[in-house]
This record gives sequence, structure tokens and C-alpha cells, in this order.
Amino acid sequence: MLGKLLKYDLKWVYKNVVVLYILAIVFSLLSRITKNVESSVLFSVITIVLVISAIFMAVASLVFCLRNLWFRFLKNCYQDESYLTHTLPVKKKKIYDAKAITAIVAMFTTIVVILISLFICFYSKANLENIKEALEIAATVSDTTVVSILFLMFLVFVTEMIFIVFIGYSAMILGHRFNQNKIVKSIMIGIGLYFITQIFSIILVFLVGALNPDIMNFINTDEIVPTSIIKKIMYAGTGLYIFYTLFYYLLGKICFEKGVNVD
Amino acid sequence: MELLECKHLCKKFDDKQILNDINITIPRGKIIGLLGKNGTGKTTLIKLINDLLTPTSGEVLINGKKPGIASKKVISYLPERTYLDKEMTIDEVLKYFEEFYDNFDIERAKKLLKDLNLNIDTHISKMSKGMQEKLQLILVMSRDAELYILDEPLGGVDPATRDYILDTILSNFNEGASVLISTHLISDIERILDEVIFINEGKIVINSSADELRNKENASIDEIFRRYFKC
Amino acid sequence: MDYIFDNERPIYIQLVEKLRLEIVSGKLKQGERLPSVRELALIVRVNPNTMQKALVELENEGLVYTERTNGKFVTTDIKLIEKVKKELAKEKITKYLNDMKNIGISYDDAVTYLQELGGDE
Repeated sequence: MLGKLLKYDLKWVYKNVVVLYILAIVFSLLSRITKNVESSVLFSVITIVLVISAIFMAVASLVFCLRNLWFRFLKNCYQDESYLTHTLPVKKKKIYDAKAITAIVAMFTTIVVILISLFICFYSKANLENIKEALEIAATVSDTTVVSILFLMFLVFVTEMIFIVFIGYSAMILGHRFNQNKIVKSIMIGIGLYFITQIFSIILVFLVGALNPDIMNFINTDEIVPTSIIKKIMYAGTGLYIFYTLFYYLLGKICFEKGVNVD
Repeated sequence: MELLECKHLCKKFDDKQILNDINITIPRGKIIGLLGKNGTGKTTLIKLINDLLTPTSGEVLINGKKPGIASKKVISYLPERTYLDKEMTIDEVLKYFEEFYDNFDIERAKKLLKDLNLNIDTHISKMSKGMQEKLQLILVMSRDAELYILDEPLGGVDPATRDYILDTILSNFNEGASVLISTHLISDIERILDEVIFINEGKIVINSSADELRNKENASIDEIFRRYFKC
Repeated sequence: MDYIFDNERPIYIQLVEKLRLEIVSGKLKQGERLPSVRELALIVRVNPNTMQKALVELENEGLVYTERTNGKFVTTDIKLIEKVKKELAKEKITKYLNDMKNIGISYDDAVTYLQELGGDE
């Protein structure tokens, strides 16, 4: 049943996002072709336009992906379609999990597409050298490898997007437990949850700082920080985002399973 | 074990008591009318049976169990609204029903659609509201369910469509299943009802066989309803 | 068969009346096999339970009988059919005479009118 639900959710979410993916990649590829035409002002301009269009399409695909994920959740679970969704002989948790998996898969592919189109647009030996240099400095400073830095950045980016989707899901679930003004309340709850999470992070940092003088030092002064601390901060930061994502996944799931209050 | 039982069922929204101590039993093999004015709790009761709402107190039991996967397999529900993804085509909706319901008879549905001259490649968004309603009726009646719940199936339809709906309900009838029809348009439908349940302000006020009630009051169900709900 | 029902009286009683009429008038022939309860209900557009009840009633009157594996049949008891026909006729006549009385026409005049005007058919 989960697979079946997933199929329909993915199809709905991807339907216009795929078009944006294709446009982003196509524009990136075209920009490379026009870039190779030398000493032509016209083609330089076209290249710039294509690059901007490619980036625009890539960002648009992220925006639409987020919008589609949230709209799908709202429409399918709380509006007219919910009369069908919630009377299917399927456990509520499967309905929720299908939406969660769709979010993870869709955000993952969107970010991959963004990176691919950026890569296609900007790849050059010179650029590669510069990036490699910067990464190697970062690696040394944090006592890790270039690969793990790249991996962590990617992970954080993806996790942050998924975390935002899940906050939206939880907000909608909580907002619809009320009987009036459900959408307004959902939006307010969503914004509220986001800020509470950020404040929680700050409090956490200070708490940890209180326990570990090195970190307190790092927060308060401009002194050069030991590599071990930077490494800890990097991994802790990533871990924290993963924790938040899991937290909101579970919060949404538990509240969703309690039952719906359909209009 | 009864098909459907409501025991001391109550539902409150914020401060408003919508359903108050509802006790009913629905046996198999009957066509039952759930009759009441708009806003008296009919749809709320139906949503509770379908697990779209949770009771404030009391319980709903289908084949002895609370609403859940088992009850959803055997209940076929036609709500007042269009609950289909309008971006789908009829063909896609048929496949959707076939995938999620083991007891969906896709051949029966296709045949009924053909009788209505509906092309299965049509997008639902391009269909008129009347056609969408007929499509939903066909989907609901093409399931081999134990309890069919139709919420206001006759609202705003022309006489020919009304006859079509009544014929579809009758031709689908079997002794193992029951049909619960919720409506406020009684004269159109009363002749096919075995039993009638009157609901007013969240309470059950009459629960009787249709013919017995006619005999007792010497009037049509519609007439009795009007007398009762004169405000 | 598009029966029109009066919602003010129990439906099954009206069904019994209509089917009884069809049997005595010969529209449903003696010994004719009736469709199944479900089919009959669908033709007439009533609830199969109501049709079942009506058929049980007709069976009690003897106008219909059930052969276990073969279904339901109209009776071949001509005497019974004649008896019922006569009873129905008596009902109609009584009503006619009552109606005439209400208009103010005497019994003899009513009979005369019947022969004169009725004969035009």
C-alpha cells in the first residue's frame, strides 16, 4: 500500500518540477555551447542570459518542489480529496510516510539537479582549482577531508530543505486540529515552529558553551580556534539538523495518527 | 453481529453539541433513509462512521469493530462533494480504485460508464458537475461492499438522473449489504426505503420501518417529515 | 412497467393490489413464471424487500406459488382467479354506486346510466 500511495504522490509532486529540471539542464548545456563561441559580444551576452535562466530554473524547481509538497499534503489530507484519502483501507501512518518519503526523494533530486546545472554552467579548470584550494584549506582547518566537507555540505543542504517540508507538514496537521481558520493557524504554527527551532539551537549552543570552555571561547572571542572544535561544531551542526528533521517527522506522524478533523 | 452500531455516540465541535447520544443499529440487506433538515447532524454522523471524525464520546462499531482498515474495506462512501483528483482522467481514477480496493469491479464500472457515453480518457476537470457526480456514483456502486453510504445523492439532479441513481441503487442491491441514504429530499426516494431514521438537532427522533410509519400516520414519509420538522 | 405509487400508503400493499390486478386480468398469465424477486423489483423500480413482502402476501392469498428450484409462478387455479376477480369487481361496483349516490343519482338510475352510457365503449 505504501508503494501505491508513493507512486501517486511522487507523480503529482514531480509533474511540473520535472519540466523545470529539464529546462535548467538544457539552459546550462546551451550556455556552455555559446560560451565556446569566442570573440563575439552577442554570444557572450547570450551566454550570460542562458546562465541566469539556468540558475533561475534551478531555483524555481526548488520553490515549486516545496510548494508542490505542501500543496499535495494539504489537498490530499485536508481538503476535498481527503474524503477519498482517509476512507481508503490504508493505515494513516502509511499515508503520512508516503508523503514523507516523497519529500525526501523530491528534495534530494532537486538539489542534485541544482548542483548539476551549476556544475555545467561554471566548470572550468580555473574555477575547479580555486574551489579545490578553498576546500583544502577548510579541510585542514577542520581536520577532515575535502570529501567529507563536500558530503557534509550536501547533507546539510538537503536535510535543511527536508526539515522545512516537515515543519510545514506538522504545522498543517496541528493547524487542522482546530475548527476555525485552519489555514491561517497552520501558517502561524509553521512560522512559530521554525523560530522556536532556531531559538532552541541558540540556547543549545550557549548551554554547550557553558559546559565546554573552548566553545565558549569560540563564541566570545576572535581567537583562532583549535581544529578539533571546528570539527566538532561541523558534525554537531549536521547532527542537529538531522535531529530536527527526525523530530518533526515523528511529531507530524504522531499527531496525524491521532485522527483527522475533516471539514 | 450487526453491520453498523452506534452506541451513545456524541460529537461536539468547540462548544456546539452536534450529535447527542445517538443509538442506532443498521442490519444487513436493507435500504435505510437517514432523514433530517440540513445541519441537523446527518453528515457529521456519516463522517464518524467513515473515520473522518473521531467521537467526543460513545462509539461507532462496524461489524463489531471501531472504524479502521477493516471497516473501510467494506464501506463504500459517496460524499456530497467531488473527492477525486481533478487532474486525473477517468481511466486513471478507475486504476486508482482498482489498486486500493480489492472489491472494486472495474468491468462493472466500465460498463456503467459506457451506458452514460463517458469516454474514459476524459479529464475530470473537463466534466460537468453532473457528470462528475455520476462518475462518483458509479465508482461507489461498483464496489462489492457491505455498507453503501450515500450523502445527498439526489441534490440538484434532473429527474432523469434521479431515476438513473435510483435504478443503480436498486440493481446493485443484495441481501448481504445495506444502503444508507442521507437526504432532505424525501419524496423522490421514499418508495425504495425499507426503514427511515429521522434525526433532528443531533438526536434520533424516529427509527421505524417505512411502511409501518405510513400505516400508523396515514401519510407519506415526506408528509410526516414536514409535520415533524415544522418550525 | 412504470407503476406510480402513492407515498401515503404502504408501498407493499399497493404492489399487492397492482400485481393482483395483473393476475386476474390475465396480463400475467396463469402458470406464467415470474422473474426473480430482484428482477421484478428492478422492473417495477421498488425495493426488493418490498417486492418480497408483496409476493409473500400474494402467496398467502394463493395467487402465486413457489416451486423451490424453479422460482415463483402465477396460480393456475381458475376458480380462485374468478373468485378474486369477482371480489375486485364487487369493490369497484360498490364504489361506483357509492359515488353515484354522492352525486344524488338513485340506484335504478345508476344502473340505467351504466347500460346507456357504459355501452358506448
